Amino acid sequence: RFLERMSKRPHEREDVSAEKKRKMESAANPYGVKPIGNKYLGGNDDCRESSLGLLSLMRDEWLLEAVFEDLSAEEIIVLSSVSKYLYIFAQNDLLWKELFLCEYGCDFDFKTSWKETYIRKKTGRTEAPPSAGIRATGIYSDILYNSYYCSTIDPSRWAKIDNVQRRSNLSVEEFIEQYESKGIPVVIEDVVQKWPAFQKWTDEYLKEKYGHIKFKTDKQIDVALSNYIQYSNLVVEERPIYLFDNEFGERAPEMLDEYFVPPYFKQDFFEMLDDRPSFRWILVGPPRAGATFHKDPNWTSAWNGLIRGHKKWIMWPPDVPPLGVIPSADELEVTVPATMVQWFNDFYKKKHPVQAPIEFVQKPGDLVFIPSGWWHSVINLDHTVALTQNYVSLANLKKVHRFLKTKKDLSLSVRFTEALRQNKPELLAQLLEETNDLEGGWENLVDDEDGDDDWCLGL
Amino acid sequence: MDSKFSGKTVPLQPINSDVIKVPREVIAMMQTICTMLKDLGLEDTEPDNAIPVQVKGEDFAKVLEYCKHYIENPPASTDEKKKLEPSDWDKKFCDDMSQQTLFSVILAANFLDVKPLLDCTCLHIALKLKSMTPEEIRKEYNITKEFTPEEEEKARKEFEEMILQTTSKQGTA
Repeated sequence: RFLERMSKRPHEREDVSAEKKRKMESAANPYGVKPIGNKYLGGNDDCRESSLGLLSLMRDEWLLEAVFEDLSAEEIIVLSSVSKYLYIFAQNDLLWKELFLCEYGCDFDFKTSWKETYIRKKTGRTEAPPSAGIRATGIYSDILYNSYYCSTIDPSRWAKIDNVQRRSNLSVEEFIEQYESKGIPVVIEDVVQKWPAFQKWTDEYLKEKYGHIKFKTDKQIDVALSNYIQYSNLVVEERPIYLFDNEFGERAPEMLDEYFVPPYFKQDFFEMLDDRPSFRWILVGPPRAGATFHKDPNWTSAWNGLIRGHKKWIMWPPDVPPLGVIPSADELEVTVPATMVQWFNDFYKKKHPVQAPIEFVQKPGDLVFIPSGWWHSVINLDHTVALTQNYVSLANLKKVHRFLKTKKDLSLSVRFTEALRQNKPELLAQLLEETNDLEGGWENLVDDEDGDDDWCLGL
Repeated sequence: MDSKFSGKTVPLQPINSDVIKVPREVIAMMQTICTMLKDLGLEDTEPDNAIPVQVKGEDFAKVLEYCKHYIENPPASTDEKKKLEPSDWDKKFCDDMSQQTLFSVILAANFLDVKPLLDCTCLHIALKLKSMTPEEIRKEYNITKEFTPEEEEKARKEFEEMILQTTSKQGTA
């Protein structure tokens, strides 16, 4: 009787509540695909062999990667009319994303899916193309199911915990003393509201004023802001294209007048450099976009001000790598799951053996302080617009200066030391004095178990 | 005497086959065997007994043939984009096999973890599929499950415009 019950689809079962049925229906794959495990719960309706014939000897991932990914749009269509299994493969939106980007690049007038976007561009249709609405039974595939599941999953399910410190009316001295010098993250709740951008930067305003300007994305293509905002509000995928531009100050200089660097972060020694590393970004993105676990470059500290939307943050201290994250010896490279969705699916529920993370939801108006060296990862819960900058202040100057010396390319180290010599000779003198005093190597610097190393120069 | 082969071999025994002395250079292409030898500490020494391999003799022979040719004729570039053009030898190698053997060899290449062979055979199938009509594909690969007539009509209509656009672009095709 158990098997009989389990073999029914959720909306047919008596023991499942109406609310749950509604939720499960919306999560169910629209083509009727189920995970492989379900094959063993139901009747013998697995149609893979008949629907693929000899091709069933190939694994789903081979069919997808080695066969479908090499086909043109017309060839995919031909293949999709062979059988139901092949039809469902052909609906995989990532195939159409690649086709679009290869053929048309950044020129996307995004409609509800990449497939629709491609077909409308290709044929010049002004309305949505008809959908065959084919549902299948007997299609059991982890690859096909997970692809849909991960691209539609609601990340707010992972956003229930909020354990970060939140402050308002914080003076600069208090900030330095209580958070920056101690390397403790904090969310400051009353600064971003004072930016002109906070009131002004609605989607309509951004499209009107900056819409024609092309911004950088993480896909090495530049997209006009109007097109991108439309995309960001519509797209449903696991790994969206993310607008992430370190040149926005040069591409849209007027944006620089619409926000200011909060008073806590006015000191920034990298400003002394003529040609400083990338230090400021505009971030715009849809749900599920974000950044996988990383440390910010060169041991800089950072702040992130959210103008609209909501972001889930999760952070660990510098000496505690998150589960599922494997840094190289010099921490310049990190092996992580490909997307935040995958990390959250595979690792979030597991208890970290060393300590629990700091995690929270950043809402509009929240300013996050990320102390230097902290592991952090961010996932968008909805369409977001944010500004972020990295900097070097007294609190992390020593660490940055030392870290630069360990890099393979020493040119930045040389330039920074020279800039310090010219602008802050007394600071440099102190740094060098402390370097000479130090025995042992970098390991000694980061291994501060007793907590008695004073990282602040205390000038 | 081919200078690409040092003469060092490892004895392997596929299913239903005699022991085969496989050159070390070929072993290097079979990641599964490499790992196995490493775990057994046999990277440099020749094992006393033949190592059984869960691959049928005839399929293993094909993998061996491919690997030997690959070592003697390494591809000019490993550029990902170039992979859509198989060499003449690769094409003949795949064409000469029956459907059944081709798929067995794909499974063997996957088991032994010989990526170039997996890529080559999958590409062959992709190119074949590209050149066939849906009916030809169903016949060739013995695909029986089809759409109901209404579903087939719906699926066809869904892409009707694109098919029209393609055929009109191709002119006389």
